[in-house]
Amino acid sequence: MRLEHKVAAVASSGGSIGKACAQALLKEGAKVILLSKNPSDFSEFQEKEQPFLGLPVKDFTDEEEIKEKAAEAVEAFGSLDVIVNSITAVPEEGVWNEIPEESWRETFTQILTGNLIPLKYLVPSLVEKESGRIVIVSALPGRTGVPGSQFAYTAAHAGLGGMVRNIATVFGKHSITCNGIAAGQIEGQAIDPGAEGSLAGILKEKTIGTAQDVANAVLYLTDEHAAWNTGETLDLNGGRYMV
Amino acid sequence: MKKLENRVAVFIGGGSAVASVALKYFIAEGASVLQVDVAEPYFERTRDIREEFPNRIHTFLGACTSQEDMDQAMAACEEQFGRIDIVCNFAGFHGAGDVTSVLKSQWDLAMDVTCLGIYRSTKAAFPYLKKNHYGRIMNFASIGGRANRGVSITYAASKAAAIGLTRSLALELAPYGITVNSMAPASLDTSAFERIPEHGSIPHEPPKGALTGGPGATRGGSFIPDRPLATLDEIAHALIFLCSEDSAFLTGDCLDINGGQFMQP
Repeated sequence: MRLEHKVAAVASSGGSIGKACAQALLKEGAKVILLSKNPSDFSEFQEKEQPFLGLPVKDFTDEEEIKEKAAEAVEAFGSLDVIVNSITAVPEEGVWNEIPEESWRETFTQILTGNLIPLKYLVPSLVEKESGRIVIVSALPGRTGVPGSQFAYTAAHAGLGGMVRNIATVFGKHSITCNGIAAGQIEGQAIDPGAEGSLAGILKEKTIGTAQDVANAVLYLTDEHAAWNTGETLDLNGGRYMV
Repeated sequence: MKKLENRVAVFIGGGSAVASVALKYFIAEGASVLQVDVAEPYFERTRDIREEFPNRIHTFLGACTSQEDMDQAMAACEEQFGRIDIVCNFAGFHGAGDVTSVLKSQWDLAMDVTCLGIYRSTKAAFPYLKKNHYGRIMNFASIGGRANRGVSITYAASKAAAIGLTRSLALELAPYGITVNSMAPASLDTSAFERIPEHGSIPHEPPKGALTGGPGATRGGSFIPDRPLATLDEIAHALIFLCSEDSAFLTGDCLDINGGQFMQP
């Protein structure tokens, strides 16, 4: 039970990864709050039997809504130790200079600002405890050029890397670590449709990763023993990209 | 032969200190330049060289936060100089704050200027570059987006996003003879220039309960003795290379230029 006595908040835009992380953290003894845009995520958990709270979210970029939900999350079990973000958006497919501004702006904002706002309102609770673990799950196209990956999606995921490094740098003095996981193609997680076929890994009989693979990496980074990891983005892609 | 003979460059954020110095070198290497910025005072910095080369340096008022402005700027360049070869995206917005104290409005502005402005200018220039099957796009990023630096979160994330956008555009534009690269310097010596307050900047007042004491983090200087900062002249040399025909096989890259203080694996 790697996370006994810990409280973890998972913020998810509704894909398979967020839910898998919540399940994995719970299994390792943590009390878990899942903030999710996909209400059907909550049916997997039994709020009465488990130390779990599900909070539906409409829009992670809405400061008013998230401020409220974050307060509820922290109140749920009295404190917070771990924050995991798995917030992304599926971009509109199309030629790079023909996608309407409204559309690409929304993609960009939902990913980058969508990750920022929950952290803005949850991180202060980690600072209060002078310790904590933050993990931001992003996508491979944020790390390297992936043919077909839409530009707004790519740019936003690259921006998440900057966010990881900045939070790590600034909050290290409070013994808070912040790391990222740049995931390649994951089963059950919608990918950028334009990049279909460009994300597969090289391992025999496992060219696509699973949500559990990401959850396992989250368990590693949020472990008490991972106290010397910070500011890093773990490339988790089955060998698709190596640096 | 001059490196940029008869080439035409558009400088978005052309009034910045970096661009003002780069202008001198672009002219020396044979280019003509359209400087684009949001307000006239920025152009004062280069008044002398503009008076010396009235036919080779023009100005245009426009913001990279507006697609319409960028479309008009590129059309003006094509009209005034007959072609476009190079786009240098210098425009950036610092913003302020850490993750707990950042103002969303400042965050949005940083993203809009520093990252998305690059898309708008590229989109606007594309038809003219495509016509000649040639182009050089240079995006001015920063070590702040790359490494562990105590910069504001708005700066760190928007510069990292700009570097990511560079990679995406490099792949999109490769079939058209257009390369797209970024540059990530560390601190620059802008002491020769008077500071003009950033357009749209809100003096940073952290909300109640936010962290005080500022971000404490590695700053460090370069490892080259007696040279803590890059000069704008040496930045200009790198720009010339990235914007010349010589760099035809370099695309989707981010050139770190920091005196050894950060090294990518």
